[in-house]
Amino acid sequence: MLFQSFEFAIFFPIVFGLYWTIFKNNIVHQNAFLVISSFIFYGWWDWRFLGLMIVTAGIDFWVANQITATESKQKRKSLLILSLITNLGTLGFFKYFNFFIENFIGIVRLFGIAPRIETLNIILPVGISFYTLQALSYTIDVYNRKIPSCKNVFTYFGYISFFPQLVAGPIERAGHLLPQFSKQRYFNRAIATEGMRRILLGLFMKVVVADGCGRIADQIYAHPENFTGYELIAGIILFAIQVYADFAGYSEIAIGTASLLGFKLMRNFAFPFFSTDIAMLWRRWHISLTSWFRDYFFVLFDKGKTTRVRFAFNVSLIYLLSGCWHGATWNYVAWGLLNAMFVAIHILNSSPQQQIKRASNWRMIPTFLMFACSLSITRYTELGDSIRYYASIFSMPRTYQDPILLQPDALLSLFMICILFALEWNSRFKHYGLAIITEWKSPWLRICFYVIISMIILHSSGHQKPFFYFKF
Amino acid sequence: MQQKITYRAKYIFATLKGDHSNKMKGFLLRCTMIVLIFLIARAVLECITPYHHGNLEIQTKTNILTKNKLKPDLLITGSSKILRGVKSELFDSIRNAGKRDYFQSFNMGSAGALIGENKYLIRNYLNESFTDSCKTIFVEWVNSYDPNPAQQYTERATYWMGLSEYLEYMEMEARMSFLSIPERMKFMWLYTQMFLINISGVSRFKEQLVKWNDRPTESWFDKGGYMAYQGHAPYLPAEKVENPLAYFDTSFINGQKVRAIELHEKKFEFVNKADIRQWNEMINTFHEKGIHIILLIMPLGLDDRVASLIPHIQEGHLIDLSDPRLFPDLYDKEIYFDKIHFNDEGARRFTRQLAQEWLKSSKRCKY
Repeated sequence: MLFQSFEFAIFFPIVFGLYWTIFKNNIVHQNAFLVISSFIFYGWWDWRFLGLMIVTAGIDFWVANQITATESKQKRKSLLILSLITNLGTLGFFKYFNFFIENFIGIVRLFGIAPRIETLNIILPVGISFYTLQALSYTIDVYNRKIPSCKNVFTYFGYISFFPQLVAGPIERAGHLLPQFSKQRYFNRAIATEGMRRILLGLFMKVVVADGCGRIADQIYAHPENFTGYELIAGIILFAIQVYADFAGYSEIAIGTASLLGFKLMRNFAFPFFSTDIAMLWRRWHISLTSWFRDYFFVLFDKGKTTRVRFAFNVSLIYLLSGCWHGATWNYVAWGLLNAMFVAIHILNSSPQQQIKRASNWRMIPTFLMFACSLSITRYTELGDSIRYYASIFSMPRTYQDPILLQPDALLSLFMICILFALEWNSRFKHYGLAIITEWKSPWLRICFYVIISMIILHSSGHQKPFFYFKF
Repeated sequence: MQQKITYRAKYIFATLKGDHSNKMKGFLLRCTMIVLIFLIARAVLECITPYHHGNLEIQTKTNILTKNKLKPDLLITGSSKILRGVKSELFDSIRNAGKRDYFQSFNMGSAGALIGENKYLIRNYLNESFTDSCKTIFVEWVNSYDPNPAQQYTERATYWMGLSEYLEYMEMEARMSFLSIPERMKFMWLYTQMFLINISGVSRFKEQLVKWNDRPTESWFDKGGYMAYQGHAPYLPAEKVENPLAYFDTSFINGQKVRAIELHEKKFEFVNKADIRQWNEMINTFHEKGIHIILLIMPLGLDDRVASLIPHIQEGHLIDLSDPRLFPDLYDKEIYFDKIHFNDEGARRFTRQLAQEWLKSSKRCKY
């Protein structure tokens, strides 16, 4: 079920009510209830994939306990490899099987051979890319003795299947989220209020800004040959804002929902479009993913002091991998490569002191444009279509159309984008976009603001799109 | 008792301000109060906004199509003349006669719908996923309108998007860049009104039931979108006249009030060549998608202006049933229940004629 759906509006209050009333005094029961609720939430998408998640999580639970129980280095390593194979194998099969098969067939055909291999009709389970990394974080941390293994099955399953962040992150770390399942949770009004604000912000970002930008961007990307170069550039910008508002909006809702249940999730976006260089942008964009790759992948290559070139190369690998994680098409690989190149150039071009010296607000615009142009590659499934889109910027449109940006829908979306960025700019030194409201002295002003934003969300909720990052 | 009430009020006020400590009760109370304020604000806006727009008929019909997963291959759009004048089942039985497959049509007619609104309807309707099967769309050629608001039959707003459509029409007719400064300011003011109306959350409009214009409920359209009156004619029966254009007499609607906003909305200009160009473009665009648009001129639907524009419509995309010399049966007074709408017998007669013309046209043009 979607966060902005009617079903969730019924589901969550029930969960919230029961969680803080019937189950509040016993943490085991509370965790069990959360697990059941999370299973219902995930099973609502497709009950078949619930079984997959339970099996892989069950294997990891057993593996981690076995790793803790044994002192043999060889055995520990074997168990870790088992966990890696299970998780990455599942992810690889569901996500990348067809990609590899298609490319393999393509390569083999170049030699004149026609292999009799067919792609399969595989449905990608929702959230598999997210909970797989979360599960791996647990087993790797247990292997590295950073955290003890979890003995209680409800605690562990709660960690894996926690519904606010199950399907689209933030990708939590075992060391951060798992202890919260082991501790007694108390209702805190200030945190709950902040949670509600974040949910409101998330809904505004998703329902109003992201969907609004998406409606215009879809028109432009559907027929780029019918639009002028300026409109195509606007399409690139709108698509980038759509992806950001969609994903960051989901993260805000996830964090807010978790707050209402007494959990603290990690921050996933830190106003990335206010970054003055591409590396900073990536430090603020999908923080949970990039930090995961840094902590679990980067360390495999970076063993300490190294040359700047080598460092730049190692960092680039993270972005390449990040691109591949997002999708099993050459578009995503190209996106990862492009960003890897940008970051490598940035690292090689300047030292940290120079970066600080050069940082100024005007650099936000070229940084944003660079990122948006690279992100645009992922809008299509075929790389050729993306290249054609860029080429269309420099050619005349085939048919004359009314300026799309002057249509009432577009003007309204632009206005909402301005509201969002104004809120974020004023809250840029805080944790989330609506934090600035806490500084408003008049509570009535705050209430009026909540009411107006809610009305705008309600008005815009007629034409909903699914969350963009669900496809990962 | 008074002390108790005062105490409660102070407690609620303090809760709204956020003066209580970490208590679930205070939090829930605060959330409830905010939701209540939201609902009250919505209700107030609904009362004070001057205009309700949104066509319940169209919404109902599209909901029926979605819920029942109907996949008509032919849509018939138009005003109340289509709404009352076309019997989908009869139409389908004639056009499917002798064929192996049975294709289904759907009557999307809506009272008061003008041609610009139908264009908007088609563009938006066809963006929905359930229109994969649609191959043909009839669009009633609602002819030139006298910009006199008294011409209108009802006090309701009967538009697909109402004010929004008017704004779109303004854009259609004269691009934003061609508007003069006062016209642009008027445009922005109307647009602001639309925005305020929209955020009030108004999803339905208050219907002023005109005596003969009883709106059908959802169940009326279960069988393909046709509604027929059985001759309930509170007005005098239509007079058979030599010149059918005399039907454009508006005297029977004297006494009806029209709200100020409708004065704006109904001041459409006459259909003109620019509009025809846009229709031709739309015909081409939809042709590429495999959908054939046909403009349909109803009885009583022709005047000099429309007649002069007919040659500009692309060949093969027009069915003209307005000529009383060719279709005298469609001008008998007995088949009308008021001056322009068919009764049940009239709908049957018209539907048969339409189906025959459609079959002739489709054979000629092979679509």
